[in-house]
Amino acid sequence: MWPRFGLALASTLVLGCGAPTEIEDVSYDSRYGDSTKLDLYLPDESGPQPAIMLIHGGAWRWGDKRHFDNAARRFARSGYVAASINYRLVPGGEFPNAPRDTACALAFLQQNADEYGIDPKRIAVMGYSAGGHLASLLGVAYDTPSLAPDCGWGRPERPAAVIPGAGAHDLRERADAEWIQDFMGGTLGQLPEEYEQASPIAQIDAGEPPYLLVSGGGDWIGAPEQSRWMRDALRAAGNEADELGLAGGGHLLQPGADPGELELEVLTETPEAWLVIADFLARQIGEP
Amino acid sequence: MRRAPLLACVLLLASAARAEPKGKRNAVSHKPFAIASSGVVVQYERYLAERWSALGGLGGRRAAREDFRSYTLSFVSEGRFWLTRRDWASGHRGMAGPYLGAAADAARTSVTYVPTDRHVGAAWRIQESLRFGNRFVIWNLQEITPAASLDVIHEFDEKGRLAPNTRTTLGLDLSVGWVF
Repeated sequence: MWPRFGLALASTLVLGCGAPTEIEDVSYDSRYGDSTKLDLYLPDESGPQPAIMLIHGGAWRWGDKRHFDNAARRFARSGYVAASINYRLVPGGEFPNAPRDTACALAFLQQNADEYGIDPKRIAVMGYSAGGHLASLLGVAYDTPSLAPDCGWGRPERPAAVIPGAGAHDLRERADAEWIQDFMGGTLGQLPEEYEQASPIAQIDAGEPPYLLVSGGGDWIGAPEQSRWMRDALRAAGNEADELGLAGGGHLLQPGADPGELELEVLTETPEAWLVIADFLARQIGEP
Repeated sequence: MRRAPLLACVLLLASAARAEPKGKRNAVSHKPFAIASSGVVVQYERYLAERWSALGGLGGRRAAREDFRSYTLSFVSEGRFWLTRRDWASGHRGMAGPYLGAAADAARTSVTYVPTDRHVGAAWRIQESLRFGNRFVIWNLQEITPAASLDVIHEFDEKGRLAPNTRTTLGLDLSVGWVF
């Protein structure tokens, strides 16, 4: 343990970390401009590598692919190809447009795997907040006809693993929230079928990809009970699903190295989450 | 000539270091935010010189729930420069009022997968912070010290599965305790 730790410390403090190759603003659907671009973070290693597609949060209304910079760079330095995507936001990204964009982005990565050194069978999807919802929905509904993308890359294959952080999994249970109504384009009473289609928990079958759900006990935006419901529903259908809950974890404020200090960071970048995600990825899509 | 400001600074710091601090010289505190994440931090602060104090402490937390459990052990330290040495609200003098701090914290987190009792891994987080805070002293005894900080975080995975990482962020800090 200690020699490896010492090497890691030295590489950071003395030698510095190798920066991944970054390719910005790759368009996966030219019809929607910057809304459907992604940034690629390529590791030094060549050959088909496992990859992680990252979907940012922001209540389906705000946010940008740069929000996942830190995680994407760390994944790439660890040997994974990381792709952080934009998708259409409200207004314009109302259901089912944003989920279709995420499906299009996944299909783009799978179809262009050779060009970017990706193993197309080993692409995990990870998202946070609204991105957590979209990742979760992509995991269970990648083959749902009504959510199939109409971009040129066709329908995606099943992602190899899914990591939704602080996401909603049953929009029907939070239908009073204004930001959910904005995303859905109406109320639950007006659009009951659409709310069901947009709720990952209502789309579960046997044979779904393995899920790692990350939730915070103090996250009143992400509603941690929804992660537990999703895990239990996935398991009940015979799928592999685990949940990392973090006591005191907020949506955007987490305890730091000093547990009494709150850091501005997301749940998926806490030490506990990094460890569990690294272990999950190593088991599900292999170590680079 | 150009050395004059530097010399003045050195003399000022030296005279401050020699001066016997006025006011209460000790503080013991804990951090309420830690309790929310099933943690605790206890720290001791010593008034060393007229404007300077040093703080050290220990903390821990068990944050992981559901299918995982985790243990984190933390070491916290900070040096503080007291800007006015006076709490503007109560008038208390000494380690009170606004301060600038330089902090260094280290924490080791270990995670286990509960269903099979499998050790998932362990990681270190080393954090350097520049803080601006203010200590309020009530009844010449109790202190409340909120602070905001700019933090540089270094992360290391002991198994080496994830590359070391360095990033910056902002932080909020609150301690509550006693001065004596």
